[in-house]
Amino acid sequence: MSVHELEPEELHLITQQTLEVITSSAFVAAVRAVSSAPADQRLLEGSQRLSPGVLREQGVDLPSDMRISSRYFEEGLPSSIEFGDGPCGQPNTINALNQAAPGALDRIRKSDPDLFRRLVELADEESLDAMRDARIGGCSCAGKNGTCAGIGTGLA
Amino acid sequence: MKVAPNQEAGTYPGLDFGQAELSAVMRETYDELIEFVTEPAFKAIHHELMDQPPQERPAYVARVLMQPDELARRGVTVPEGVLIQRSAFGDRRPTLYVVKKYLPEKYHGAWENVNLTFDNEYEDEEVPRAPELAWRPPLPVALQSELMEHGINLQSVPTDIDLRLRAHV
Repeated sequence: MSVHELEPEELHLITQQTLEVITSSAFVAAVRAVSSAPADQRLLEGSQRLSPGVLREQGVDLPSDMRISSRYFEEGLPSSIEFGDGPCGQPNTINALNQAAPGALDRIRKSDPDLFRRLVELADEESLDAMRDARIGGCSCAGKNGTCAGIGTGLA
Repeated sequence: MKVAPNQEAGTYPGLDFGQAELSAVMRETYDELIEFVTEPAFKAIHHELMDQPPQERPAYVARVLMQPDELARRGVTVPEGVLIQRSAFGDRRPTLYVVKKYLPEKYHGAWENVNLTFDNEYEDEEVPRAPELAWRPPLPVALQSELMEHGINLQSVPTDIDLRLRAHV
Protein backbone atom coordinates (compact mmCIF):
# COMPACT_ATOMS: atom_id res chain seq x y z
CA MET A 1 0.00 0.00 0.00
CA SER A 2 1.37 3.38 -0.87
CA VAL A 3 1.84 5.71 2.04
CA HIS A 4 -0.54 8.04 0.22
CA GLU A 5 -3.40 5.58 0.40
CA LEU A 6 -5.64 4.60 3.27
CA GLU A 7 -7.63 1.71 1.90
CA PRO A 8 -9.96 -0.16 4.26
CA GLU A 9 -9.21 -3.58 2.79
CA GLU A 10 -5.47 -3.16 3.13
CA LEU A 11 -5.77 -1.78 6.65
CA HIS A 12 -8.04 -4.65 7.60
CA LEU A 13 -5.50 -7.13 6.29
CA ILE A 14 -2.50 -5.76 8.17
CA THR A 15 -4.45 -5.33 11.40
CA GLN A 16 -5.78 -8.87 11.17
CA GLN A 17 -2.27 -10.25 10.61
CA THR A 18 -1.08 -8.34 13.64
CA LEU A 19 -3.82 -9.35 16.03
CA GLU A 20 -3.60 -13.03 15.13
CA VAL A 21 0.05 -13.01 16.16
CA ILE A 22 -0.03 -10.85 19.24
CA THR A 23 -2.96 -12.64 20.82
CA SER A 24 -1.19 -16.02 20.80
CA SER A 25 -0.67 -17.44 24.26
CA ALA A 26 3.11 -17.31 23.97
CA PHE A 27 3.13 -13.65 22.98
CA VAL A 28 0.68 -12.65 25.72
CA ALA A 29 2.69 -14.64 28.28
CA ALA A 30 5.87 -12.80 27.26
CA VAL A 31 4.17 -9.42 27.53
CA ARG A 32 2.81 -10.29 30.97
CA ALA A 33 6.23 -11.42 32.14
CA VAL A 34 7.78 -8.12 31.04
CA SER A 35 4.98 -6.08 32.62
CA SER A 36 5.41 -7.83 35.94
CA ALA A 37 9.17 -7.26 36.10
CA PRO A 38 10.50 -4.50 38.38
CA ALA A 39 9.97 -1.13 36.74
CA ASP A 40 13.66 -0.39 36.30
CA GLN A 41 14.24 -3.68 34.50
CA ARG A 42 11.38 -3.69 32.03
CA LEU A 43 13.26 -2.34 29.04
CA LEU A 44 15.88 -5.01 29.59
CA GLU A 45 13.22 -7.67 30.10
CA GLY A 46 11.46 -6.48 26.96
CA SER A 47 14.62 -6.77 24.92
CA GLN A 48 15.09 -10.31 26.18
CA ARG A 49 11.57 -11.75 26.23
CA LEU A 50 10.04 -9.84 23.32
CA SER A 51 12.83 -10.20 20.80
CA PRO A 52 11.75 -11.72 17.49
CA GLY A 53 14.17 -14.62 17.91
CA VAL A 54 12.95 -15.56 21.37
CA LEU A 55 9.28 -15.26 20.39
CA ARG A 56 9.84 -17.52 17.39
CA GLU A 57 11.56 -20.02 19.68
CA GLN A 58 8.40 -19.92 21.80
CA GLY A 59 6.35 -20.88 18.75
CA VAL A 60 5.03 -17.45 17.80
CA ASP A 61 4.53 -17.26 14.04
CA LEU A 62 6.03 -13.80 13.73
CA PRO A 63 5.70 -12.10 10.32
CA SER A 64 9.03 -11.07 8.84
CA ASP A 65 8.01 -7.41 8.78
CA MET A 66 6.92 -7.22 12.40
CA ARG A 67 8.86 -4.85 14.62
CA ILE A 68 8.77 -5.02 18.40
CA SER A 69 10.07 -2.00 20.21
CA SER A 70 9.80 0.17 23.25
CA ARG A 71 7.54 3.15 22.67
CA TYR A 72 6.53 6.39 24.30
CA PHE A 73 3.23 8.12 23.52
CA GLU A 74 3.06 11.85 23.91
CA GLU A 75 0.07 12.90 25.96
CA GLY A 76 -1.77 16.14 25.46
CA LEU A 77 -0.95 18.77 22.94
CA PRO A 78 2.58 19.25 21.72
CA SER A 79 4.48 22.32 22.71
CA SER A 80 6.64 24.67 20.77
CA ILE A 81 9.12 24.55 23.60
CA GLU A 82 12.15 22.43 22.94
CA PHE A 83 11.10 19.27 24.75
CA GLY A 84 7.34 19.58 24.82
CA ASP A 85 4.79 19.32 27.57
CA GLY A 86 4.68 16.73 30.27
CA PRO A 87 3.29 13.24 29.88
CA CYS A 88 -0.02 14.06 31.51
CA GLY A 89 -0.58 17.15 29.41
CA GLN A 90 0.55 19.58 32.06
CA PRO A 91 1.81 22.67 30.27
CA ASN A 92 5.43 23.58 30.10
CA THR A 93 6.23 26.41 32.50
CA ILE A 94 7.24 28.71 29.68
CA ASN A 95 4.00 28.07 27.83
CA ALA A 96 1.98 28.63 30.97
CA LEU A 97 3.76 31.91 31.64
CA ASN A 98 3.20 33.05 28.08
CA GLN A 99 -0.48 32.32 28.37
CA ALA A 100 -0.90 33.88 31.81
CA ALA A 101 1.13 36.98 31.10
CA PRO A 102 1.66 37.55 27.39
CA GLY A 103 4.83 39.51 26.76
CA ALA A 104 6.15 39.11 30.30
CA LEU A 105 8.86 36.69 29.27
CA ASP A 106 10.17 39.05 26.63
CA ARG A 107 10.30 41.82 29.18
CA ILE A 108 12.10 39.57 31.67
CA ARG A 109 14.56 38.47 29.00
CA LYS A 110 15.61 42.09 28.51
CA SER A 111 15.37 43.37 32.05
CA ASP A 112 16.65 40.33 33.97
CA PRO A 113 18.54 37.88 31.72
CA ASP A 114 19.60 35.78 34.70
CA LEU A 115 15.99 35.21 35.82
CA PHE A 116 15.04 34.44 32.24
CA ARG A 117 17.80 31.81 32.00
CA ARG A 118 16.65 30.19 35.25
CA LEU A 119 13.06 30.03 34.01
CA VAL A 120 14.12 28.33 30.78
CA GLU A 121 16.31 25.90 32.70
CA LEU A 122 13.36 25.07 34.95
CA ALA A 123 11.19 24.33 31.94
CA ASP A 124 13.85 22.11 30.40
CA GLU A 125 14.34 20.20 33.63
CA GLU A 126 10.59 19.68 33.94
CA SER A 127 10.46 18.28 30.44
CA LEU A 128 13.36 15.95 30.96
CA ASP A 129 11.98 14.73 34.27
CA ALA A 130 8.60 14.19 32.66
CA MET A 131 10.11 12.16 29.87
CA ARG A 132 12.09 10.06 32.32
CA ASP A 133 9.00 9.41 34.46
CA ALA A 134 6.62 8.84 31.58
CA ARG A 135 5.04 5.50 30.84
CA ILE A 136 7.23 3.63 28.44
CA GLY A 137 5.34 0.97 26.60
CA GLY A 138 6.09 -1.94 24.39
CA CYS A 139 4.70 -1.94 20.90
CA SER A 140 4.45 -4.48 18.19
CA CYS A 141 3.84 -3.17 14.70
CA ALA A 142 3.48 -4.82 11.36
CA GLY A 143 2.78 -3.22 8.05
CA LYS A 144 4.48 -1.83 5.03
CA ASN A 145 5.46 1.36 3.29
CA GLY A 146 5.07 3.56 6.30
CA THR A 147 1.74 2.30 7.63
CA CYS A 148 1.57 -0.22 10.41
CA ALA A 149 -0.96 -1.82 12.68
CA GLY A 150 0.28 -1.39 16.20
CA ILE A 151 -0.55 -2.85 19.53
CA GLY A 152 0.71 -1.45 22.75
CA THR A 153 1.02 -2.05 26.41
CA GLY A 154 2.33 0.02 29.29
CA LEU A 155 5.49 -1.24 30.91
CA ALA A 156 6.28 1.52 33.36
CA MET B 1 -17.78 -17.40 22.03
CA LYS B 2 -16.90 -19.27 18.86
CA VAL B 3 -13.22 -20.10 18.50
CA ALA B 4 -11.78 -19.75 15.00
CA PRO B 5 -9.78 -22.71 13.67
CA ASN B 6 -6.48 -20.90 14.10
CA GLN B 7 -7.24 -19.74 17.63
CA GLU B 8 -6.43 -21.37 20.93
CA ALA B 9 -9.34 -22.45 23.11
CA GLY B 10 -9.61 -21.54 26.79
CA THR B 11 -8.36 -18.57 28.73
CA TYR B 12 -4.87 -17.20 29.10
CA PRO B 13 -3.13 -18.29 32.31
CA GLY B 14 -3.97 -15.80 35.06
CA LEU B 15 -6.58 -13.97 33.01
CA ASP B 16 -10.33 -14.40 32.69
CA PHE B 17 -10.42 -14.18 28.91
CA GLY B 18 -8.81 -16.00 26.05
CA GLN B 19 -7.59 -15.44 22.54
CA ALA B 20 -11.00 -15.54 20.90
CA GLU B 21 -12.43 -12.85 23.16
CA LEU B 22 -9.35 -10.64 22.98
CA SER B 23 -9.16 -10.99 19.20
CA ALA B 24 -12.81 -10.02 18.83
CA VAL B 25 -12.38 -6.90 20.95
CA MET B 26 -9.23 -5.93 19.09
CA ARG B 27 -10.89 -6.52 15.73
CA GLU B 28 -13.80 -4.30 16.70
CA THR B 29 -11.48 -1.55 17.93
CA TYR B 30 -9.23 -1.72 14.88
CA ASP B 31 -12.35 -1.46 12.71
CA GLU B 32 -13.35 1.73 14.53
CA LEU B 33 -9.92 3.21 13.78
CA ILE B 34 -10.07 2.12 10.15
CA GLU B 35 -13.51 3.63 9.71
CA PHE B 36 -12.19 6.92 11.09
CA VAL B 37 -8.96 7.19 9.08
CA THR B 38 -10.69 6.21 5.84
CA GLU B 39 -13.29 8.97 6.07
CA PRO B 40 -12.77 11.37 3.16
CA ALA B 41 -12.01 14.37 5.36
CA PHE B 42 -9.30 12.53 7.29
CA LYS B 43 -7.87 10.90 4.19
CA ALA B 44 -7.54 14.33 2.60
CA ILE B 45 -5.40 15.48 5.52
CA HIS B 46 -3.28 12.33 5.45
CA HIS B 47 -2.74 12.71 1.72
CA GLU B 48 -1.79 16.35 2.15
CA LEU B 49 0.67 15.35 4.87
CA MET B 50 2.31 12.70 2.73
CA ASP B 51 2.51 15.09 -0.21
CA GLN B 52 4.85 17.26 1.88
CA PRO B 53 8.60 16.64 1.69
CA PRO B 54 9.54 14.20 4.50
CA GLN B 55 11.39 16.85 6.50
CA GLU B 56 8.35 19.12 6.51
CA ARG B 57 5.88 16.48 7.68
CA PRO B 58 6.56 16.74 11.45
CA ALA B 59 5.66 20.44 11.33
CA TYR B 60 2.50 19.62 9.38
CA VAL B 61 1.56 17.04 12.00
CA ALA B 62 1.98 19.62 14.76
CA ARG B 63 0.16 22.30 12.78
CA VAL B 64 -2.82 20.24 11.61
CA LEU B 65 -3.17 16.77 13.10
CA MET B 66 -2.43 17.81 16.68
CA GLN B 67 -4.84 20.74 16.56
CA PRO B 68 -8.49 19.85 17.30
CA ASP B 69 -9.69 23.20 15.98
CA GLU B 70 -7.84 22.73 12.71
CA LEU B 71 -9.18 19.21 12.33
CA ALA B 72 -12.71 20.48 12.94
CA ARG B 73 -12.20 23.27 10.43
CA ARG B 74 -11.30 20.63 7.88
CA GLY B 75 -14.40 18.60 8.63
CA VAL B 76 -12.85 15.92 10.81
CA THR B 77 -14.76 14.81 13.90
CA VAL B 78 -12.61 12.60 16.09
CA PRO B 79 -14.76 9.85 17.63
CA GLU B 80 -14.92 9.57 21.39
CA GLY B 81 -12.05 7.52 22.71
CA VAL B 82 -9.93 7.87 19.59
CA LEU B 83 -6.62 9.65 20.16
CA ILE B 84 -4.35 11.26 17.59
CA GLN B 85 -0.89 11.45 19.08
CA ARG B 86 2.78 11.64 18.36
CA SER B 87 5.05 8.93 19.68
CA ALA B 88 8.62 7.73 19.63
CA PHE B 89 9.94 4.19 19.32
CA GLY B 90 13.02 2.71 20.88
CA ASP B 91 14.09 1.47 17.46
CA ARG B 92 14.06 5.13 16.29
CA ARG B 93 11.90 4.65 13.24
CA PRO B 94 10.95 8.04 11.77
CA THR B 95 7.37 8.00 12.97
CA LEU B 96 4.93 10.82 12.31
CA TYR B 97 1.68 10.20 14.13
CA VAL B 98 -0.57 7.52 15.50
CA VAL B 99 -4.33 7.03 15.72
CA LYS B 100 -4.98 5.04 18.85
CA LYS B 101 -7.75 3.69 21.03
CA TYR B 102 -7.51 1.99 24.40
CA LEU B 103 -9.07 -1.41 24.82
CA PRO B 104 -11.48 -1.84 27.76
CA GLU B 105 -9.54 -2.06 31.02
CA LYS B 106 -10.42 -5.72 31.41
CA TYR B 107 -7.92 -6.55 28.67
CA HIS B 108 -5.02 -4.44 29.92
CA GLY B 109 -3.50 -7.51 31.52
CA ALA B 110 -2.61 -8.52 27.98
CA TRP B 111 -2.62 -5.44 25.75
CA GLU B 112 -3.72 -1.87 26.46
CA ASN B 113 -4.32 -0.27 23.08
CA VAL B 114 -4.50 -0.82 19.37
CA ASN B 115 -3.27 1.77 16.93
CA LEU B 116 -2.55 2.67 13.36
CA THR B 117 0.86 4.26 13.05
CA PHE B 118 2.13 6.33 10.16
CA ASP B 119 5.83 6.89 9.51
CA ASN B 120 8.06 8.66 7.08
CA GLU B 121 9.34 6.23 4.50
CA TYR B 122 12.46 4.32 5.46
CA GLU B 123 14.43 1.41 4.15
CA ASP B 124 13.84 -1.73 6.15
CA GLU B 125 17.52 -2.16 7.01
CA GLU B 126 17.74 1.43 8.31
CA VAL B 127 15.71 0.60 11.42
CA PRO B 128 17.16 -2.15 13.61
CA ARG B 129 15.21 -5.15 14.83
CA ALA B 130 17.99 -6.27 17.17
CA PRO B 131 16.47 -6.20 20.65
CA GLU B 132 19.34 -4.26 22.23
CA LEU B 133 18.61 -1.43 19.78
CA ALA B 134 14.83 -1.82 19.47
CA TRP B 135 14.44 -1.46 23.25
CA ARG B 136 16.40 1.74 23.72
CA PRO B 137 14.59 4.43 25.71
CA PRO B 138 12.56 6.39 23.15
CA LEU B 139 13.61 9.94 22.35
CA PRO B 140 11.49 12.81 23.63
CA VAL B 141 8.84 13.28 20.96
CA ALA B 142 9.46 16.97 20.36
CA LEU B 143 13.20 16.37 20.06
CA GLN B 144 12.53 13.57 17.58
CA SER B 145 10.43 15.95 15.48
CA GLU B 146 13.14 18.60 15.56
CA LEU B 147 15.74 16.09 14.42
CA MET B 148 13.51 14.86 11.58
CA GLU B 149 12.84 18.42 10.47
CA HIS B 150 16.58 18.98 10.18
CA GLY B 151 17.11 15.74 8.30
CA ILE B 152 19.17 14.19 11.08
CA ASN B 153 19.25 10.40 11.12
CA LEU B 154 17.55 9.36 14.36
CA GLN B 155 19.82 6.34 14.60
CA SER B 156 22.76 8.68 15.06
CA VAL B 157 21.43 10.11 18.32
CA PRO B 158 23.13 8.58 21.37
CA THR B 159 20.95 6.61 23.77
CA ASP B 160 21.91 8.81 26.71
CA ILE B 161 20.82 11.98 24.91
CA ASP B 162 18.62 13.17 27.79
CA LEU B 163 21.49 12.85 30.25
CA ARG B 164 23.78 14.76 27.93
CA LEU B 165 21.21 17.50 27.51
CA ARG B 166 20.84 17.76 31.24
CA ALA B 167 24.59 18.14 31.59
CA HIS B 168 24.44 21.16 29.30
CA VAL B 169 21.63 22.95 31.13
